[in-house]
Amino acid sequence: MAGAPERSVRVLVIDDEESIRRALKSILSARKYEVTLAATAAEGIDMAIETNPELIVLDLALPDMDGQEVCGELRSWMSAPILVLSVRGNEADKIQALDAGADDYLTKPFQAGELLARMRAILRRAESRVVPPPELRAGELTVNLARRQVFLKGEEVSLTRTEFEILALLVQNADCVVTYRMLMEKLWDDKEDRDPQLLRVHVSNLRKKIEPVPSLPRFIHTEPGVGFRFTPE
Amino acid sequence: MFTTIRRWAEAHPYIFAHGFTGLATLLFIPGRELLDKGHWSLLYLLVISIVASIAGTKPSFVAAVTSFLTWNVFFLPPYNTFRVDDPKDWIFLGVFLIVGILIGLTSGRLREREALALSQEREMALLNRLTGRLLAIEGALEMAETFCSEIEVVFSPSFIRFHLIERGEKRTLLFGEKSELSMDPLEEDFLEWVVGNKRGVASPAPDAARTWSAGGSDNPVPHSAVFSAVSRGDVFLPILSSSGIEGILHVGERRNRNRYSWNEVQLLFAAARMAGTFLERSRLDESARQAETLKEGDKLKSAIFSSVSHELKTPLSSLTATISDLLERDAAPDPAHMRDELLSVKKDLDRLAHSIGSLLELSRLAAEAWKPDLQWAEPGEVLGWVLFRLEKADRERVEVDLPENPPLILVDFQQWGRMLMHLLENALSYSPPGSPVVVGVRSVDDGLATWIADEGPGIPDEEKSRVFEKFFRGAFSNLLPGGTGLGLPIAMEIAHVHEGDIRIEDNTPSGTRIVVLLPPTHVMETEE
Repeated sequence: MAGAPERSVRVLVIDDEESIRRALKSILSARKYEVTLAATAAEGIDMAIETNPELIVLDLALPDMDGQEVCGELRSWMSAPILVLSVRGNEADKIQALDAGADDYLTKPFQAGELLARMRAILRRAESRVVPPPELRAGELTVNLARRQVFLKGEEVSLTRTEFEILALLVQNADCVVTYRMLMEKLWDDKEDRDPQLLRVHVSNLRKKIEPVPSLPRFIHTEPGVGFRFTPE
Repeated sequence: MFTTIRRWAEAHPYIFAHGFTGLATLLFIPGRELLDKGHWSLLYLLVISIVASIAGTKPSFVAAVTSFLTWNVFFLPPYNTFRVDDPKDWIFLGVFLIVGILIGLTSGRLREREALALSQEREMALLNRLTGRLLAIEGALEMAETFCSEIEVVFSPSFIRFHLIERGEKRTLLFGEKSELSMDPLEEDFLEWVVGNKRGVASPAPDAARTWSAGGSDNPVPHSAVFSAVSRGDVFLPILSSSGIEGILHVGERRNRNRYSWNEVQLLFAAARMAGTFLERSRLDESARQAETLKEGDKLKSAIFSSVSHELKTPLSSLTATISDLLERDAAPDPAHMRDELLSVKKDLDRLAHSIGSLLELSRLAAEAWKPDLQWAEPGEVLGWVLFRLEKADRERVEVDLPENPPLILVDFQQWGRMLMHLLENALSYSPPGSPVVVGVRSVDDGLATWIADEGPGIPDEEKSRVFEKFFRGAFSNLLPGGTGLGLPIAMEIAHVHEGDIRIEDNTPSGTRIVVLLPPTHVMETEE
């Protein structure tokens, strides 16, 4: 079936809405995911300890705890990726959750296909954290992380160090959102240097070098208020 | 120089009458032998005329008597005595006195008439100007400001306090010198008395010591004896309208300390009455406007209600029908049929989600619950975000026409994106399947234009202005059964928040071309 992982993956769903839990259970079970359900944050944390899930789907609006608190709590002892579910318009909550350790977000209402694609993307990212792939291809773009080389239509593109760092982080997290903060922490050790405006300038320059049509980005998309997302399709 | 002398003479008429006659005499004496005594009498008549024209009737009598005596003493022989040798001179003297008094009387009367005409002209001019200016004004504050600036020009008071009474509360506006900002502690009581009695208080010249209250009053004016504002000649007038008292006008003493005349107080009273009428009218206008808004609001509410119930109920009923049918069947439907049914269920759900999303968005916009988070962005960056969110089949229909180095735009990324999304969805839905929709950006004289052109049936001219009304569904709305009629109003709302605008044009050869304008303040050309 489309969207099924190659092996059975343990997923924990934490959502207080019964109907969402039921829908997720049905969507995920049909794709060979092993699903555990929790209705509250407390129950979710207990379940996480008990089942040691490989991925967590977490609703931000839980009755007993803030979504970002749950993220922080889980992140403090486990490394499994977290996909956050939120309602449209709560950008601030979303960013807080991402900064607290969530891996990506999905806005309700969502399509099953979207959910599965996001889950696959963050699982892939979790795996590549262990063994980073030496080379990534996205259409006419090839990024060789080990040699720090980038090719567009077979021709090498010359990037500055900062531009390469940005591209590398985006490519390693392909299909997942990368927040401004994640990028800035990687680029600039000194907190004083972290300037979102400067980051945008670097991204703009990077687009000019690697996008087939720089004025209409295809690879590097802006997630307004949150960060950027690299889409290789 | 002349004006200064004249002002001084007006302020001290009797000293002027004596002084001027004396001065003339001193000038005349050295030339006493050059002219005949009769000629000197003519020159004295000239002096009397000047005094009369400057200082008025009574001082001119003084000048006439003084001239009579000095002419007698210094110009009728024997000199330097009151004695008159020639008995014929007594006739001269008698005639001189009568003519002198008559001249004073006539020119004094002329002068008073002139002054009256002048003041009437000034009054008319003031009232005219006030009427003209008040017609163009809306708010009470603006009115008070205009009003006071006019009074300032005509009366040059040291300050004006305009106390507005709005819904029982008093608001005080001050015009003039800062030192007058502090209110006399007695003034509150005093103002209350003016409001309670709807009477003005003034002490017009020359009865400086007496307090005048318009129309007379049984209630004694509080503190009138000790209140410095009254004793120095300030004017307190109720600002009356047909429905009661709208405020109090307190005109401070004149900068030159001259008291206000009775006529001037009357003029101020007429002006205050005009202000009162204005305040009443604007209050009535305001309540009429509010009633109108309420009515509009009701109309909108019922339009929203009917549209919402239609938009939400239609997919809900079809969902209920489809699902209950599937559940109630004895045998399970075959997979192909099941799939068809589920596809229609999904379509209904998408429609529901879309309607609810639009309604929430519009209510958020209408409630002004969000402030735009303006940031510089590249037009293509926003467009990329929008295209990324479209279904693949739709995305492939969109052609993008961007200049090589588009300028940066200052927008709320998400809102601007949503606006483009609504416009694109509209264009895609209202044009034949598979036909291209072109999105372009170009700099124009008045900012940056983003246009979205489709090859649909176009919008008839008579509907062009109406498509931005909430819930308006055009002639071709059957092409888009899931539309709420909210997409364009939302887009317009977002454009307005960015100080921009949306225009609808005809596309050639067919279809619609929507042009979104962003003003130059939100556009920054980039180098290269």
